[in-house]
Amino acid sequence: MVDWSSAIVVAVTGIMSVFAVLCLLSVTVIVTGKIFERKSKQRKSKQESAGA
Amino acid sequence: MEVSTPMPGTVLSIDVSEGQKVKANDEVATIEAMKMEVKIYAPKEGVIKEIKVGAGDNLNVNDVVMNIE
Amino acid sequence: MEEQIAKNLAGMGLFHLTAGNLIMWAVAFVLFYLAIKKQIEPLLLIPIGFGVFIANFPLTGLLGEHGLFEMFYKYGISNELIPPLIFLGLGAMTDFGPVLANPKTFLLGAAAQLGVYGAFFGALLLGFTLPEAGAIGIIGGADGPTSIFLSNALAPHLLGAVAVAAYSYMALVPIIIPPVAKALTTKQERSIVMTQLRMVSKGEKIVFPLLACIIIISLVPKSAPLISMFMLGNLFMECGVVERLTDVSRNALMNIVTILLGLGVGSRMTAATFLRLDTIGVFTIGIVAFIIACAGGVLMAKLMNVFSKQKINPLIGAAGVSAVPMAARVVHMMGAKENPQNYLLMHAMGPNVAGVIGTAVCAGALISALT
Repeated sequence: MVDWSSAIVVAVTGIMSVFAVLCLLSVTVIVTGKIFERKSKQRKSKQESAGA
Repeated sequence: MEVSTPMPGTVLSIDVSEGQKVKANDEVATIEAMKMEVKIYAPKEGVIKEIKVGAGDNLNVNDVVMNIE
Repeated sequence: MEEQIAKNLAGMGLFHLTAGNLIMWAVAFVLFYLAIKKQIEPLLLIPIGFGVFIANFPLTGLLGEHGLFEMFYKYGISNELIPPLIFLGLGAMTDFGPVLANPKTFLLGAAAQLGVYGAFFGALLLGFTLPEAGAIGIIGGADGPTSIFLSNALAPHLLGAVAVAAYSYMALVPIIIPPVAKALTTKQERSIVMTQLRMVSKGEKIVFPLLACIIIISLVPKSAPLISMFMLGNLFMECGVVERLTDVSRNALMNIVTILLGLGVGSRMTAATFLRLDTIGVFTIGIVAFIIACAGGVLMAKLMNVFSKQKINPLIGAAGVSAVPMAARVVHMMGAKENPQNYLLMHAMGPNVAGVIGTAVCAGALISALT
């Protein structure tokens, strides 16, 4: 007979880990994107001030 | 008005010539992105002013393909 | 002397062919037909089909303890060697740019994995055991190497059926996605034009594979074989200083292991293991898995639109079933049908590659829960 309770445990932990991983990835990428953007802006403004 | 590429890819063909009249949604060029042919359409009615790229050129997003006036 | 002759003649394979063998030959010929005539996944279906064909000759010893095909299977697949090597090559071909430019699409890749669990319960209802149901469910991820990796770990006896179901449904993506995605969206939603993706800097692309390893492998350690090789291949490509390694991973090495993988998988499909009711069950549940995965992605996109100002075209959610890049292409064509100036291809690549990661994570989670 199918052990439904352990099946539900498997599915719930699985779905939770998939969403946890991909949400965390998404947040990390947003943050690194912001950091890189700020860096490139800084570089640009430096270049401009160096040019002036 | 500039017609630019919506995605990076290689120009397969330019389907109009300079001076040609086009209507909105006419095909003006074909690019290949990820092994798929993608048509580029004229955003508005007008005359093709200047074609900036040719078949075989590699394009990045937002590169200008041609001007329409 | 007559006895001797009779005995030697009896050693000819011809006299040992069973009806099952002949049916399996027919299966092999169907695979050849699909590959050659219809150009469906020919790189895989030709070696798999040939493996099936040859494995169903009697008395060859190919599947014996030291048989040739047995070795391909034992050292390539059973050892879990080849699927990660294929992931290395896939990593060296995958551009994470679209998903880095629009990180929300990671969630669409996650939602499409609901298909895996939907199919998991479906398989349990049909009477499969927990590990078998896990192996069948992963078909919903639409990722060939991951399906092979997982079914080998959980239910090796189903490997042939699961692999062939996964690859054949991936080939059917252009037929499966449109009706499901269409039923769940309005014409208005399908014509949503998405804003241009921003350019992603080289630095971001180099940092991503390392960050992804930290997050994914520390949360789901059992996904390490697939994820680590995937990210290594991607690092090869993005760092730009090891072009030779990038090239060999995505071309030469990939081609070599594809041959061994195909023969190894095909050789598992003998009459005795394939011609069973189980196989029909695998194929039935497989298509259900695909449909749920596709629906999951679309509904997630609609849900995200409720909360977010920047609307996304829900069609791209359907690309969360991996099948790179076919699913993205299908989505693009559906969008272009509603509005020719709607270019969804790059937007759909986001959930598409996120789906690959999602499926590998799913496989890792199923392995740690079920073994």
